Amino acid sequence: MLPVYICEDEEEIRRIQMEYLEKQILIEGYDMKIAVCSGCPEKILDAVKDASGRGIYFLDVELKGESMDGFSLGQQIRKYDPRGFIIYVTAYKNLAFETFRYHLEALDYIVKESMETMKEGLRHSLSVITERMQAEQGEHREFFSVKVMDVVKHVPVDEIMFFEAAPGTHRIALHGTNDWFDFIGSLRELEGQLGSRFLRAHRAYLVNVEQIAELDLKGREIRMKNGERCLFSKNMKGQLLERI
Amino acid sequence: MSFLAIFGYDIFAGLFGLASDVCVGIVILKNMPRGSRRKYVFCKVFFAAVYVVMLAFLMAFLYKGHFLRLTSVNIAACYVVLLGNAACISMLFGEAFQTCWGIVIFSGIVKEFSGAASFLLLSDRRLDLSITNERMLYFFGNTLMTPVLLLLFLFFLYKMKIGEVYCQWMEHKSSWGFGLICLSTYPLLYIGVAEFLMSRGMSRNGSLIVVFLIMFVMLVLFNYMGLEEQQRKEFDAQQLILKQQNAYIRTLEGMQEEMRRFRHDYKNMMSGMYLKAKEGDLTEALEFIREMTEDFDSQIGGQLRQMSQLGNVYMSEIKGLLLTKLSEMQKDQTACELEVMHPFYGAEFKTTDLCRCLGILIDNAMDEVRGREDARVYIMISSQEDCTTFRVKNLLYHKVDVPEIWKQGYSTRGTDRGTGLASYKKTVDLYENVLPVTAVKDGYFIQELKIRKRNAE
Repeated sequence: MLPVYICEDEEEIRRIQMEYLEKQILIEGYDMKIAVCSGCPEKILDAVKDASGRGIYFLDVELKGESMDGFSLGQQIRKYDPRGFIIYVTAYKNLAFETFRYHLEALDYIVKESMETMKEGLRHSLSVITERMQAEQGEHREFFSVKVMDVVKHVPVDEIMFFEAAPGTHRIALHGTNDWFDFIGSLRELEGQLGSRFLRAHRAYLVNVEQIAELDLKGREIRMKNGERCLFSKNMKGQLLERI
Repeated sequence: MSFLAIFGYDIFAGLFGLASDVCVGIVILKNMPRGSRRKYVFCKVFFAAVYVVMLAFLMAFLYKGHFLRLTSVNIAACYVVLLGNAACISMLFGEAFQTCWGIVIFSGIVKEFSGAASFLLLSDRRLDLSITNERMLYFFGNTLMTPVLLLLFLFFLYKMKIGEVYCQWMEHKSSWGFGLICLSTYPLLYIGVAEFLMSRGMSRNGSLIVVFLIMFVMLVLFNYMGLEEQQRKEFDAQQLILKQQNAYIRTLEGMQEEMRRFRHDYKNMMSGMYLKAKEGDLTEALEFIREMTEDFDSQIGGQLRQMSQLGNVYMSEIKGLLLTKLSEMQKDQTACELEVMHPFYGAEFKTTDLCRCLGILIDNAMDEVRGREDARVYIMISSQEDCTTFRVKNLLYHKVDVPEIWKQGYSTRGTDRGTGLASYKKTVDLYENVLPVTAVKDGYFIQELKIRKRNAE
């Protein structure tokens, strides 16, 4: 059962939100339950700390007179529940939502322009969450997660072509189908972490064997399925030929 | 004195000279080892060591062969050392040779200055190195007194912020080139002048005092030229801010004009609504209210939002860049979603480089969406506790082969446009605290530039 948390400083709106959500959960038969409904972010956090697993959070962006705003509340929640669903509720139409989505992986935001739009937003969010959860159940895709400064990037393992180490630094470049970025790490650690699907074909390259398109034995180059190329060292030739 | 002893001493002196040049670079100019990625460190150190040994050999040879007595050889040797040190530093830190030459010259002048001062205090005539006592005195002066005085001078110069002034001056190419040539003549000047005066029968100390004065004048010259450059820069910066503020005011005036127009319409609409409400037609009245809010949003809301986001950018160069790009986008009829949620004061990235990099990313996004229906560019600047993220996002209208885009000359729209991302990559790779991120997600092309703050590890 998914716990639902509501943090909203206006009492009247809070009451409407809670009643409407309860009603929706009942009508649609969702496996959810209102856990905490409060105007005080600390109370929400205390409950989140004690709970395990993911929850659903409807957070007001502007929390007047409280110690933190919705953004920092979201940051705190993410420490305990990295996979929960966070939905922001705001009085202003022009919320900096890209920033919220970028840092907090917020699902959506609802404008409380009128009670109707707000209720519509709440209803929509619940159905989107249910859809997501169902889609996740069917999916057994494995993800590679890595911290890039202040955010965590998740890349499906089957979309990674190879890792490239920059000489003399701790910088690793990930080359993927849809992602290219640098992070701090070491190829040796990655080798251990990713297991046998990845082969250390060269001092500077850790290659996803399943994504190899062809080998250029003369130039000692590997061409990947996305067209990128990397090198392999002489003594890895045998192993490579064996694996593909 | 044996050849080996001189050789050993010269190795020591060479190392000391190189080390002090590096120190000057780091302490005074503050721009030496920053930003360079350390590649092949061992190779570089090895080459540097080879250089020092070779130099020491050359010097020992010159001394033994009594060549150093000749003024011209002395001057030439001085230049060889300077050139060698500059090349060595350039190799070690991956800086441009000209910058290193500037550093070496600067440190050379300070060194000569302190050397002249220390020998002036030690004795009243040229020391004869073949006499043990005098040799000891010479070593004492060279290895102890000069470094102490050098440190003292450096500290003094550091306190006077001469390094910063010199840095400013180094960044200005045109006057820098000429000034550098002038300053590079210092060994010629001071050795030549000292020899000349001594040959005219002036005492050694007298000639040293003259040299001392020449050095002093040079340092003053340094300071003066640097200060002038600094003032010029400040003036330019003020001009830029003035220009930006003018643009800002124009935007605000435009918004005021829109507001006035809207007020006029709004009065008409209000009276219409008043009539409808009076007739009891509530749905019509509600429709009016809806239309009005929408109108407001589309007419002024967008600009108001952009301006309030821009207000969170406190780094005037970036603010200026964004203002320029926003007005370009307005001309192109491209919408821009700018988000600067937390105040942005600056990042640990050279300002000119940051402007160039961000400019390239925004230009690319604009190029991709230009002329399309509902063209839109998303720009986000997010300052968090330990890092700052710049993120530019746009819808992709055709397939991009991302690994290709970093190559020089790649462009999706015609020739001679493809230098952008290649130089972006090159710049970003120079910084250890900067990570670039590229992604294609849900049909969007996303470029991020993440800059870590130095105090956060």
